[in-house]
Amino acid sequence: MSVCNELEPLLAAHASGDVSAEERERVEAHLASCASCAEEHELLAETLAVATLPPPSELEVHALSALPGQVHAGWSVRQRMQRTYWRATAGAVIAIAASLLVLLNVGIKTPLHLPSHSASTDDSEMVVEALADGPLDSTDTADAVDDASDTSSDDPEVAPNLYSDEGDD
Amino acid sequence: MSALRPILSPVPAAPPDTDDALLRAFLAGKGSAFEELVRRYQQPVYGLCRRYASRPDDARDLAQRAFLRAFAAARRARLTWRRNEPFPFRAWLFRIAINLGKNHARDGARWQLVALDEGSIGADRAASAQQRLEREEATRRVRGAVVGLPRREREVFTLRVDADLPFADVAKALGITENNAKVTFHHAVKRLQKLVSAAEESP
Repeated sequence: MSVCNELEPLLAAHASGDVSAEERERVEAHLASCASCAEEHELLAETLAVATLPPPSELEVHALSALPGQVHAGWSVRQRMQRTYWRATAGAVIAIAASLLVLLNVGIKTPLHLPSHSASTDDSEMVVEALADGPLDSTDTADAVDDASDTSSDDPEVAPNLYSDEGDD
Repeated sequence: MSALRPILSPVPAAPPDTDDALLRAFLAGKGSAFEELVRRYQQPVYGLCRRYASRPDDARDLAQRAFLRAFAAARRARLTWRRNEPFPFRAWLFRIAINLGKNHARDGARWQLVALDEGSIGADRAASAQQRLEREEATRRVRGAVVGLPRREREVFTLRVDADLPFADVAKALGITENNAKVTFHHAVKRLQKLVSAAEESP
């Protein structure tokens, strides 16, 4: 490989002003003795000068000094928005989960309305009902058990009312 | 007197915090570390964004978004990044700024260079208005052509010229060798040089 080919890839880096001391020495020694590479180097330097943007104006530099504070403020806003989003999402998930629980509860209880099973209604189901109605009270639970036994034994069609407001009366 | 000695003796300046230390402090809720990181890199990031923006306000907005995305990425990555390795915040930040800038230019935010440097304007005073306009147009085309360079050449060129990073840092930011960065830079400038020649030859 000729010296020209070897050093050519370094010409633009040299024109940009960032080569190692050893590279600088080799390139500059070669440019002093090779007119072709010297001309190429000059063209590359001119191209770099044309392609480089003008330095920032004083106004830009001044505005840039406010950037850390602006980014920090932007970050705080972003954090608040994310917290709001997650709260809303968590609320929606809890609401959906609660709805599913209610639906599952109804789905599990529905077979119990059959005459053969309604008599076996246990206390735990009544506790769920009592929790939905208000503070747990032993007399309420007892009443509910009585009501359930009475209605289911007489008329199976009335059994679903166990989960309606009428059961509270 | 011996009790005063520690007070009177010169206190060696504390070494500046590393990016990783500042990042960890920021993630622990220290706001000053956040601003220090922005201050440390605002000039190269703003320099990168200027290449793609039509107005200073747009460039500043791009720079702000680049920082916010880099911080968000760092926060997400802290759970998975290995503890004994520093998080490459700087490399991420520069890559994010370049990508945001490129997207900004691509998405129809038509960039144009706001002003030529005063030196060239001064030199042009003697030239005719027509020549001056032609030269400005050629300069604008060449500067704009940087955005259209192949990706790797554009990244190396803008990190070296717009962000004013040495090749060693360009190489680190892009995960390539320093020699590779220099060779790629040479190809980029050669490609732009053809444009300059074409612009000079065109009537």
